[in-house]
Amino acid sequence: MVKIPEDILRKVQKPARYIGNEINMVVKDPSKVKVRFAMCFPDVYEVGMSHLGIKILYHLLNEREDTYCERVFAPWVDMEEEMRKNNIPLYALETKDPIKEFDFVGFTLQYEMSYTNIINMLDLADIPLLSKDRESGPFVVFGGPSAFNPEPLADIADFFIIGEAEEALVEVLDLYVKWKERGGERLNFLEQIANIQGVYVPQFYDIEYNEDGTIKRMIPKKDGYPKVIKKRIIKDLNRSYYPEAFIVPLTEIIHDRIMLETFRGCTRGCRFCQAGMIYRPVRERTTNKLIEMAEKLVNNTGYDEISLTSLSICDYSDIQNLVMSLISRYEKDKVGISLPSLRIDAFSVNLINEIQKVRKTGLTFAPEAGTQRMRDIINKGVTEEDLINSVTAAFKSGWNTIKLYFMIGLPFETMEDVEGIALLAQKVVDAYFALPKEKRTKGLSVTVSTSSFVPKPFTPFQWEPQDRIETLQEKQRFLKGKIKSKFINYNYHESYISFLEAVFSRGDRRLTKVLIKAWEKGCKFDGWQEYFKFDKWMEAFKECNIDPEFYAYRKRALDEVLPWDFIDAGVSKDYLIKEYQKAMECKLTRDCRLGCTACGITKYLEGGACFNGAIFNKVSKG
Amino acid sequence: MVRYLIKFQKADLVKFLSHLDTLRTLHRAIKRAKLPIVYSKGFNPHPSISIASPLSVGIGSLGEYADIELEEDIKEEELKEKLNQNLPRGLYIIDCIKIISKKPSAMSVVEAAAYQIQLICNFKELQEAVEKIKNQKNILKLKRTKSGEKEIDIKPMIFDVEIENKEEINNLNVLIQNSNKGSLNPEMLLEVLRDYGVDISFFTITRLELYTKIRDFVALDEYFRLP
Repeated sequence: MVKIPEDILRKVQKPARYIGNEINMVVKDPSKVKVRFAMCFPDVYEVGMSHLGIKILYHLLNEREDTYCERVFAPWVDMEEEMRKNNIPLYALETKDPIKEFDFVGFTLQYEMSYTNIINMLDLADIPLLSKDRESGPFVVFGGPSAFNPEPLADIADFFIIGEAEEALVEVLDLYVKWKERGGERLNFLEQIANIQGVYVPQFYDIEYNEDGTIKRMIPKKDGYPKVIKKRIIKDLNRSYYPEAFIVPLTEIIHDRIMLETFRGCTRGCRFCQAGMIYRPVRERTTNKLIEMAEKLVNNTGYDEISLTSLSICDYSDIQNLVMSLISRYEKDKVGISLPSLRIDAFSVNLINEIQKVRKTGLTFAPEAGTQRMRDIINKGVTEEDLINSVTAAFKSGWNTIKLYFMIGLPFETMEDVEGIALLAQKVVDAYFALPKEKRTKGLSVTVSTSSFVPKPFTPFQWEPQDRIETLQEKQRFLKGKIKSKFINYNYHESYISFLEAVFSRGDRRLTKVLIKAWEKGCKFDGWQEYFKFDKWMEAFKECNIDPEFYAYRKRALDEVLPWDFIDAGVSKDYLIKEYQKAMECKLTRDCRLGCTACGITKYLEGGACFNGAIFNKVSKG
Repeated sequence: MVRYLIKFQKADLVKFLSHLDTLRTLHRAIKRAKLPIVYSKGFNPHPSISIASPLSVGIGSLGEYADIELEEDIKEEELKEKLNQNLPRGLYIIDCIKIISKKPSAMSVVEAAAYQIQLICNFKELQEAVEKIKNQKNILKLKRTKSGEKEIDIKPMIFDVEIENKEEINNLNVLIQNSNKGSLNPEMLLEVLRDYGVDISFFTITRLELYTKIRDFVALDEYFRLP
């Protein structure tokens, strides 16, 4: 056990991040288990503890009597400094044992800009950074959405789990227990798990490159190694594991509430959205099941808010009934219901109205693009009329604060499309003033936020170049100039971070050395503006003799071998190409609840059923 | 509506919870225990829990107090047990007192707090410094306020100081002002000791008790037990 001296905890910000001891934390005797698993999130406690995926896996693994899963987060810079000064290795919150002593160290990859934190955490734990240097000690495993392009971390990982990890991880642990009892080479264990669907062991493959730097082919080093890695999915959410008692932090975290996962997947088919592709097919939990889950979670956590989570919550086929049932059940216990406001239409304004009878805080809408042409290109099936109807309904119901999310730098975007953002925001302002004075709440505020588009693997835009930083900045300035109303605020994300995201999201395994170099130069917490060091990153690329623009700004040919091509995400490449071509022609693809669009996922599934668990194929218009 | 005064400990690592964290943790324990807590009326209902005196992050306590209001009359013992079953390790309810008579809130009656400061330092140096504290007419210290720094005399806020030597560790037991007229942060005393030449290599602070004043200082639980 690591002893964390009190004077260190007194010195650092938010010491409660480092003490563990929360309600529902799993306590086991580590000497009585066969597997010790460190579930790591490469960001600070408040961020990591807000993430649903590791909550599920933490409790799932701890259901096993032979396994003790503990949590690890990135210490904030002040704590890291103290740990290094006092020779305190990275430890797990439950037992405070150094994670170097564990059997597995697992990281979830939620965003590319957390990769240097992974390196930093391995270093703090005194675990060799590269897989080839690990002769003993824990196996390092990665999973999560960014693992769909595992290559930039290929030399660091011992293995990856691609897709939903609940079942695969359990299968890996079963084999591990046997391997450990028998005793044997690390390689031997990796060879065994390589046969599990969803497991990818990067060291089993060689990559050949063409002269122009693109990939020629990926070759398994032995015949037995799988040529294609198929992602894992959970078939039936109603029968899949879901914790009944989440850990309740003692200090405030970002999403400090019950997360009730209603469904996985999305049918909308927005062409920029990776989540919408890789989490297919849609699978729902039934309303009854969700109510049962909510009851246990409320009782066991004491939280006063339930958040219904999914990619696009209003697409849940029984949403009205679910929300109303939860409200009537919990009103008297002062437990509120909230919806992550991602895709709001007039229908959902009414629903949110039900939820928030009294307090009208801000509403967020995501038209994503400013003109109809651009929205058609990205297949965002929202019209200007939809948006104006929705905000009008919101204004009539008493809201006066509206946030609008857009992307700039989308493929085929023109300055007219950028200007369209300003015009659309102005129309929202006009919709407010079109209402009679007595029907609107004073104090209108419209916030326009733009983020810079990052092309992602497994989307129809995976072949597209990203806009150059200068172009993005010009578009931001241009848009700023086009916004005239004093009721509209404009803010935007730094395009430098988006550039690096574009490099790593579509990178290959030659980038591992850049990550390590950048970390050596002090890069970490890159997702935190105040710690992002763009110049250090550029130095790292230069010293590694790698051109980042090759990854971010290059248009790929359709027949190019992409670094992630060996992964089968269920959605076929043919479908992605078809969607890409339709984008160029500004053609829409319908929501697949209205009829199959042949993305390939039905072929991937045995029996080929989408919408598992849905009560009917409802599509809310808008 | 029934009012209770709860007395609790904040030991081990939970002393690193902030005041708001502690409040939230108590609220969630009450919810898990299904105790019928009273909520304020209005847009944003708040549970009726109020901690008598906020404690700085990093200071432990053997004598914290909070007023809570329940919709129903529950036996003191039952309330204590249910809360203890639902609190994290380190937070422990020592006592629950049902307040039947009309008494002001715990927050409004607190006048002083007793702290034990454990120090690793030279005992002789400590002795001399404490003597100096006792004999000094004024002890002027800079206090950071919202509007900047202000010099205040902390001497009148120090009611009692005693030291004892236990092998390696020295105990400094103090009774200092802690009221809505102003509170002395015990860490300020450490600063004074340092000013007076004590070299402190390690310290830990524990609040022992809160007091009100009726002629003499009376511990809060005693006061609220009075008829």
